[in-house]
Amino acid sequence: MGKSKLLTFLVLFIAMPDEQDRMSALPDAILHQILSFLPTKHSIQTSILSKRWIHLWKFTPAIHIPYNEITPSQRTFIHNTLTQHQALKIHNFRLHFSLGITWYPDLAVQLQNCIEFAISRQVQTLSVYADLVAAFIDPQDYYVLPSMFYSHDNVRSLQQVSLMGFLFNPNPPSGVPFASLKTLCFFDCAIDDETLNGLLSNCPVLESLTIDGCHRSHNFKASWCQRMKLKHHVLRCRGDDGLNVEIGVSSLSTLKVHGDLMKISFTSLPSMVEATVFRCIYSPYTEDFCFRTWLRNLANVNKLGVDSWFPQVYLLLRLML
Amino acid sequence: MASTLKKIILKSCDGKILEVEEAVAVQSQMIKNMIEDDCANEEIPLPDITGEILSMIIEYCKMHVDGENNSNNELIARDADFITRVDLNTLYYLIVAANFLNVKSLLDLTCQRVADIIKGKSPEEIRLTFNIKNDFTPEEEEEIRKKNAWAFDYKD
Repeated sequence: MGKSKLLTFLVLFIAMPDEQDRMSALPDAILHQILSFLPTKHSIQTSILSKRWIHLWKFTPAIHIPYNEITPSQRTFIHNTLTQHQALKIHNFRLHFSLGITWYPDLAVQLQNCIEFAISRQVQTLSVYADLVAAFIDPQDYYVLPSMFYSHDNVRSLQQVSLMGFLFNPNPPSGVPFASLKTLCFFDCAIDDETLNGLLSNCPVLESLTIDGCHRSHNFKASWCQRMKLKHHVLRCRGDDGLNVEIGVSSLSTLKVHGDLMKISFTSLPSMVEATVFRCIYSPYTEDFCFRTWLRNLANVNKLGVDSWFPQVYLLLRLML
Repeated sequence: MASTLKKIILKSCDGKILEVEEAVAVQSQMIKNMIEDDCANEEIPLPDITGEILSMIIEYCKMHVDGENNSNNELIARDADFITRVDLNTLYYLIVAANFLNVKSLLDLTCQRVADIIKGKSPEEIRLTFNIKNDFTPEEEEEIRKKNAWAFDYKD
């Protein structure tokens, strides 16, 4: 009797492979990869699981701090994460935060440190959003990008850059090309035309460019991107400053334009397959938007996005004919 | 034309033999390298990968080759459908096999799945899910919690 019980127990024991801890048996590199898909806070919290997991988070090739209002405890979190992190390469660095009503004078330095940290670890995807909308900050007081962003040898590794709430100092040092940079997005940044032009001329393989509600830029010419094979372009004008836009890039396949205060002129767009123009009003008399040229240039477009302005224009044109 | 229909023969550790179109097989960087080095003319033995897992991986690779012209969203939806059907045990073997065969997109997908399972769980729930044995003494665990309080305590 006792023997058969023991046997049943043994059989059950062997037949239950699920009881094994297979995950912890995976190689470090795979566990690092798994943790890199988690927000960094959750990744650090796995250090308590068992001795196997205690240091794994420090070597994940990613740092991901999701959108939050910045607080002293979050700043401590960012500081400790960066000082304890030991991965030699960080593919993906994402830090998104909003600034509430509290102003932290030394946050600018911490942000610079974050960007320098990411670049020194050969970051490929860099995404730093400082959402300053609620804080009513003048663009001249936006966070300044460290000069390392332009001059470090590692900027060659950058593939995607998204920045929000940054001020680009005019005439930054140039020399090291953004040799791998394919996607560049600026949201609510302060950058003047000359600096933007200089920066773009340093991005030989750029494919996608988003300029969303940027200050100080008044005359954007897509021809600045003529030498690269720019395919996707998004432009949004949110501020009170108008924006003159000239678009004519032979490689461009999608274009999205949002905003009423933009004066847009088009030249040849032979590769365009998707075009969106969103604006609330259209006033034909100010000729701020060359509707006829635009339509002529959309010969190959198979997806067209328009909103309330379009029926107004259409009606006007019908009346004029 | 003849070259695109070339078949690669794979043999699982439990003796199952699978013929795969080259276009599908080269989703595995390892097999791609073997073909380039002209080492894939005979059957390729795959130790540690069972026939069941190998079939799933081929199903996945085929889905990606066939879906090349589909929209990105469609592929993401198919990936999600593929991976949520998989239990934890199979998921583990898929990770090991995707790593060995070097199918990058599948390794990403499986690792992402594990991360999704971990997300939102307390340490105790994670241990239970994966059968991770807590080998800390209560004092040691308390010590780590204290040392990393900055990560455990702050709310987001």
